[in-house]
Amino acid sequence: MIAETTVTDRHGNALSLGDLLDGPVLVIFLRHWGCVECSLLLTALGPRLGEIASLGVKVVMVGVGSVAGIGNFLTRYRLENSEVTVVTDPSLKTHQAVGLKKSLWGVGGPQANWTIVSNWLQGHPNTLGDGDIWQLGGAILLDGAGAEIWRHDNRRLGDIAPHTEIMDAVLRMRAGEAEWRI
Amino acid sequence: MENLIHVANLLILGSFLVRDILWLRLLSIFGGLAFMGYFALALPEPLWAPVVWNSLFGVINIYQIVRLMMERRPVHLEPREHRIRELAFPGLSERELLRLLGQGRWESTDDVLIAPGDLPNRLILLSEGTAEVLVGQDQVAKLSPGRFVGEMAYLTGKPSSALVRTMGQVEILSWPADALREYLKEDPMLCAAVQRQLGADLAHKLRGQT
Repeated sequence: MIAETTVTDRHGNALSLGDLLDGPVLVIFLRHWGCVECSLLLTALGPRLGEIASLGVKVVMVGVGSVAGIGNFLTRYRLENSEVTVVTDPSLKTHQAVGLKKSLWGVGGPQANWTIVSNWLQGHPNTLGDGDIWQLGGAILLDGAGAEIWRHDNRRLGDIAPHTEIMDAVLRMRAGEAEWRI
Repeated sequence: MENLIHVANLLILGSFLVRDILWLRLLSIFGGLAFMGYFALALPEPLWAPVVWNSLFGVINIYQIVRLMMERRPVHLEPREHRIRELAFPGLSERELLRLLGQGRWESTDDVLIAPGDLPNRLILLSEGTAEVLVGQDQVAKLSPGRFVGEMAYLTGKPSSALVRTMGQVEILSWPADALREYLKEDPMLCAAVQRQLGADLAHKLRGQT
């Protein structure tokens, strides 16, 4: 169970992930801190974080890199003053708890390499960062009761959920919870 | 005639130096014409292969120039389109807005917009006038211009649980739900703009329900 795994915040405090999952929450599973995927994701989703928050949905990001990397990540993507919570679990147990895989082909295969090169040309950096580079990312949307409403498992590096699909899931969930619908 | 090769290369060089894609293509066409003139007329024996290739490049460039010119034409919004932009889609350019509005239909009505149990097959945006939302006999919300009707059914696929009726004559813009979904799939930016407004509207309605 994802809620039972332990993550570490930027100050080095160990937390139960379940403590962060109070209410509707979008959990984004990052890879290591230097991955092009983070840049792609935050470029697309960053401008929409306010919309997600306005719908009462928290955003928690779980990386696999070092605790020290969280601060750099927050600075690089200007998330210090946002309501996004970024934690890490280098043991990968949180990623494994939701079934996200490690993949040599998904990270080192031709499509992944093309993703790195084509996005580097467009200004998205990719470095080794720190943490397990073979772990794939993903995203899960949980409702207030902790039930999974939507998920996206990245099949390879860069295969992130489109921001429109994430927003669609958030909107669908919140509209479904309304007392009256029109 | 021999100098045509230099003219052609200077025009191609010029096309590499400009940043505007329209000028790049224009200079490229003139460069291609100069190349064609050189290979067809300046040599003792015409070389047709480069002439044919440059003709092909020219045709492609002309097609792309026409597209660019169509995209860059100024657009003019009608007053009601201006109003919708201000009310619901301030982030869209005029051209983007017209693309979105072009998928919908304007209508004036003084009637029930949605009845309980309906699964509306359209997403409605109130452009002018007001509507009320009734659950049983109780008015639970009043909808002003810029608010959506049918958006919860659009998002969830579930039937309406309330009645929406106009308060006098209103002007609405409505999109067929399935067609709009398909259209927005192809255009993430327009999709984001619609989602942004749906989200703001939904957040407003959810706040009103608590």
